[in-house]
Amino acid sequence: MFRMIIAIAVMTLATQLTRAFPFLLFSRREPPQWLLDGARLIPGAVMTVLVVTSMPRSLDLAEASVWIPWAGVAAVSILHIMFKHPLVSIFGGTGVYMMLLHFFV
Amino acid sequence: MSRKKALTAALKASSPVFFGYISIGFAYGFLLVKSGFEWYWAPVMSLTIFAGAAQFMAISLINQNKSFIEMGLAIFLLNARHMVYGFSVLERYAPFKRFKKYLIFGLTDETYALITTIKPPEGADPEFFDFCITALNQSYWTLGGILGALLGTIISWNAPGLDFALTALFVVLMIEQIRTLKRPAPFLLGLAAPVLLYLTGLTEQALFLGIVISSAGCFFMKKSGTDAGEPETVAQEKADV
Repeated sequence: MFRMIIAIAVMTLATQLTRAFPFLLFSRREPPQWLLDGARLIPGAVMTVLVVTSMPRSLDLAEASVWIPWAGVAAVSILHIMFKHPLVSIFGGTGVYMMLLHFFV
Repeated sequence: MSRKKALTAALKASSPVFFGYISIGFAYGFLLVKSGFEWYWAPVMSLTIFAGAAQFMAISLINQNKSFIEMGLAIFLLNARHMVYGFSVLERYAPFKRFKKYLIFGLTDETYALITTIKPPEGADPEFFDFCITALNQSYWTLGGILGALLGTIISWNAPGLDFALTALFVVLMIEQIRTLKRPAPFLLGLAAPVLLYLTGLTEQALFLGIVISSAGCFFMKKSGTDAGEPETVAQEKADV
């Protein structure tokens, strides 16, 4: 119990150090313009990395464990481009993914 | 009135995160119970650590009897991407007072993605709107964990593939960013960085290093004339503040 509480405190602190970092450095002075310009582009790059790294590393589309996630991503993208509604895209796409998983794995 | 408006808008904006967090949170609570923990550790960790991937990792770090130093370092590196998130919201959070500490505490991947993509509704207090988004997200995540932990003790079916909702969320947010930024460079870099890391054999570090490299690269991109949507967005945000 004691060990659990210390472990959780340590991991909470580690997480908070990462989140508070920019605020600790720039709470009193203005961050430079180049920093703000770059930071505006970061979400796009980061989201792309998150998508790529949540995909299988293989491109062997004969494998169900490879083509099913890509089919899921295709379904999400098509739904989102067509309907522009996050819930439709996420749940439509996840539904497609779960069904493919059920029938092909 | 303004608060009600902000809460309503935040409920709507955070609805995709609701499903993502409930399902991933459910899987987390389920795994936690199956790993030998009591159910209540799920909400305890969701209210303190409040970081998805880190909480999954915490289960194995604790079970493997790792030292506190190893635990802290592993979680710090895993969450290091959150360092870059703060820069994107520095400007937006700068004038905030009341909820600022909590907003920084709760800056998860999904909260960050929503905050940087969605503007507060006109006439609503932007600080309260961002607080609603963050607090709603944390409550979804905590609720999912409790449900997973409780149901995990009695139900054995684990809804195969439901965790894809998180990937789907990342895809949707990426498409939204493509619409907002209207320029290919950040996305091409976000694609190239992890792929190059795979090719050089740095598979395990692809998420962490990929985020570091592509985020760093964003500072070397020229201010593009094709950023048609950007000045408007920025002007809007400043007007709301």
